[in-house]
Amino acid sequence: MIDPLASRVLALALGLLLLVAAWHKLAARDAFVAALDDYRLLPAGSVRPVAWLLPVIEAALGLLWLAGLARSGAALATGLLLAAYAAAMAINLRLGRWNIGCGCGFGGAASGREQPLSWWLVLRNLLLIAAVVLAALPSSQRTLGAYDWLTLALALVALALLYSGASQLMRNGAAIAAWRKPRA
Amino acid sequence: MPDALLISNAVLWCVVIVLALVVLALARQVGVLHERVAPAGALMPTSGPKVGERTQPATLRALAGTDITVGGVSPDRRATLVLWISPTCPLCRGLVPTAVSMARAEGLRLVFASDGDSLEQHQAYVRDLGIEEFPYVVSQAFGISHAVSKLPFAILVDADGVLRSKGLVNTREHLESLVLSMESGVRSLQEYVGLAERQDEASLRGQHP
Repeated sequence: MIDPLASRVLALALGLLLLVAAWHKLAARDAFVAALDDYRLLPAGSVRPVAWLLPVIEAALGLLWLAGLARSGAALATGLLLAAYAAAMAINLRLGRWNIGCGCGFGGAASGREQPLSWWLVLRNLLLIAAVVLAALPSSQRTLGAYDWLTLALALVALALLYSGASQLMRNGAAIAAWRKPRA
Repeated sequence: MPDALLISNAVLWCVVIVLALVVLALARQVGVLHERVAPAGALMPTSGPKVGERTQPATLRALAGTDITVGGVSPDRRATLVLWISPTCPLCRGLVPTAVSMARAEGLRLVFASDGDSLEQHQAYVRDLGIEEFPYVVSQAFGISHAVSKLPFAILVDADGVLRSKGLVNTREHLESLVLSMESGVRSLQEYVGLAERQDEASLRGQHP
């Protein structure tokens, strides 16, 4: 059993994250097609349709989470999507192809280069999957008061800031690694 | 009591959010710094012996009275770092301890060189810096043969007597760039950047035929 407040915070945070991710992929569609192509996991013909499909799935799942309708089905789908991303990154990292864009950049365009793959990104996705599992657990019955809603809003702001901070640190880490790593 | 808890909780939330903002801002600043501050290498003049050329062994009289040889195949298989300094160069004073610690860490033979001034001034300078254990050469011809025009200047000659890097060095980063240049076989930062860009273009062409 999990407190309904924690459950709601996670659900809303995941919903917002999915919507923002979908919006970024649709806004920079050409970049996302190129990134997806770089992963070299999809047959050539299917890259463009999949590049359409992924953000649409993300947006739909995000709306379900926001509306509080994400029960086991949507949670399972979100978990599988995140696991697929993690697996795609892990496969390319194992092949030593860290030098491709991850296609997951927030503000990646602003800093010029796309964030390259790293195991931190895989870890991030595993943490997100853990959040999905927690949010999907049945929550206890408790009526939320005004103070709970305030906590909810503040927690969302704090999570969003920490998430951006962590992403920025990953980009910095990648920039430092790029100086050290000999270009093969 | 419940009021106090509520207030303390609200205050803590504010602190958490402000701290998260600060962390984000710091991380972004570090990111911007990485974009702006490209790594700097030693300034390499085009005159004088070229990097990659075999140097002729030169026998020089050190301040202590011993003869030392710079250039040619080194008998103890160590690379030689020659650093030109002068009692009248303020930057040199700061760079000497750096050069000493770097030579120890990298296992280099360190030779100081200088010219001009009186021998007494050079001897006082050596005592002042505490570098009596390293050969200190006072020779105008040696400086001219390597086209040394501005100080502090350094060259790195590998164990086979090949000039591996040279340049005007102002900071530890510049000095390290000489050693890095020898180890990597890339002569200068400009060459490295050019190499990296060509590789980027090549890999782009490879991925999108």
